[in-house]
Amino acid sequence: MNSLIISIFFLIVGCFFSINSVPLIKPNSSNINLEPGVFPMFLGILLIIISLFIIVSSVLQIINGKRKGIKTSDNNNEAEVSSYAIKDIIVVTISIIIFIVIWQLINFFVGLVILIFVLFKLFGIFKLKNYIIFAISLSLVIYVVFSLILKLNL
Amino acid sequence: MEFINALISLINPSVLMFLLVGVFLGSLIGTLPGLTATMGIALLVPLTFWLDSTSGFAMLIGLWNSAIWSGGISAILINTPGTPASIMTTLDGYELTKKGKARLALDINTVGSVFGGLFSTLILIVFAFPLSKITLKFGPPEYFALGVFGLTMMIAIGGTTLAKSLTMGIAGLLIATIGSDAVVGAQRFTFGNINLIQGINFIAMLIGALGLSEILYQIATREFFGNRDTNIKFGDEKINLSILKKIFLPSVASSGVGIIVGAIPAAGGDIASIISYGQAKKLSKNPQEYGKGSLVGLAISCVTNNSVIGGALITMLTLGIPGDTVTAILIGALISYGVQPGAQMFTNNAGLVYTIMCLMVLANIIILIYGLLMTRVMSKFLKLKKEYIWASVIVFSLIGSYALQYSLFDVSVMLLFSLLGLIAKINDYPLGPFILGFLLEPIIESNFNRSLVLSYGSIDFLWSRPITILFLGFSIISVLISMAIEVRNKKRNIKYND
Repeated sequence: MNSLIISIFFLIVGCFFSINSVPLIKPNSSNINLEPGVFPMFLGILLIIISLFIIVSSVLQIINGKRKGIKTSDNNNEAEVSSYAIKDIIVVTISIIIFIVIWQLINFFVGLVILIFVLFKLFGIFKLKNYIIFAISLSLVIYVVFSLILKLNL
Repeated sequence: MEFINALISLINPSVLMFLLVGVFLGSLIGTLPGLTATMGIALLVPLTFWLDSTSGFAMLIGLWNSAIWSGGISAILINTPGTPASIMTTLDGYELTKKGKARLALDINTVGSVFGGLFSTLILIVFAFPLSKITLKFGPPEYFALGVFGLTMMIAIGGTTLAKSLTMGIAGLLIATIGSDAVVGAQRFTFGNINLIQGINFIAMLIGALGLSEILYQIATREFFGNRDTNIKFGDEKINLSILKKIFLPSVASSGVGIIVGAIPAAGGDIASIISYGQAKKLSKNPQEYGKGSLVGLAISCVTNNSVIGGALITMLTLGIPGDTVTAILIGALISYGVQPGAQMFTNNAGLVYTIMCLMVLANIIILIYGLLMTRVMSKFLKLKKEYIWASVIVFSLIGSYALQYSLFDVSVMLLFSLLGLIAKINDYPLGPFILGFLLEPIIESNFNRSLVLSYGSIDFLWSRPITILFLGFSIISVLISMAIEVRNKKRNIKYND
């Protein structure tokens, strides 16, 4: 099922590049060079064809599976990712976005301490002592490496 | 003269310090299952842009060699390969640990890896310059065919199904078309966004797709680092002269296999060690010993892993195309330093070529000393909690992508590609063809265009030049073989299910 969704995504990507390549091709150009839109258009069409092939294969697989009463999954990893794991990924992503906002508006290290707090809670390893030691150590390493040695403005 | 200059540049204490840092970080990354050399290099590359190219490359070469070598440590001690290249090391390495000979196994891993690294560097030194003289004669049609060959090899080898690999390869090529067109400078798919004029930043994309996505995947699957029992009996037996004599000839042969496989685009250390181990077992007088703690079997897998590095460097330096994802990142780094890898590098930047060769030798010498003295201490790395590593990698991915050009847009690119990489990984869409497609797009498109101009708009160049025909022929054959294997496997599965 996931392969089907991903193939549809790639089909859209292929269509996007193909359609947006059209304005980059001048029909009556006398240039020997390929027009800037030709290569992406060719690739976009190729992507559309392969995506359609995977979509048809996936649909046939699902239909055959239903007929035989077999649950179809064409990869090993799909089953391992549960819905609560997806929730974890969403939390990590949102935490990163909030961290970037705090970094830009307040200070990098303030954002870092908050990000580590959220991650520790999420991973289920929060213990105040460990948290403080880890947050201070990581901040110190980053400060020394990036600010002092590499002279990078964080 | 340039060789002497390269040697002098290595005497610089800061270069040695960065090489040591690279070796140490590599040993940490390699020992911990779940962290790969590719991820480590992707995270480290942005930092090297703030250093001179010699120091930067010292750190990257140190990390690469060290991570591949230390991938064998967890393979030997806890039966879990630290990096994919160490997959075959588990077979005999862990058996030796079970027999109370962990110390001997670790010594063989160190000596074997260093032998492989040094032997492949020797081949690199001997063959790279003559090869570059041949590739210097390559014109745009040959480079176009070479780019296609590199990509099709990755597509043929790199994934579970050809259709998925092909999809990812084309997606990589398409994403790379965003930005200014290399031939006439036209803006493609930028939609007025000034951040996209230079295209998607390759390194930011790599950090996301190969670094953060791996951590997100581990979080999503709650992937554990295997058996974490570190109460290991190391034993007193050490490597000695009679063992060295016993493993010498098989090591030379497996180095050869590693170098050849490493030089082929897309074939990495895991494939090389599987081929090498399988062949050695077939040719051995005592094949029954393999997989039961054979010292020769262990040496072969360790030697092959590191000899792949020299082979991959031959392809990277002489042809300018990546042999695997690590060399893809290194090519990205070289371009960022203002150096175009390929035959031109041997004339325009010969000093850097010599420096890379010298760094390879020096890195392996450091690994030998560090490995023989410190592996027991390094086994303590295995006690590190994975959650601390996850948190650290997330933070370093963010800083690394920001450090490239102080751009939050790059951070967003990194985050976007980490999520796309995660989805791809969950659904068995291989990232290798995507990365290679992205990197090879300018080579393929611009050389195709130049070839057209040279042949006055005709596509005769595709079949009128022998080397072009050779590479394009190999490309078609590799895809056809991959298709045939897939069809055969499907038929077998249908037969088995019925």
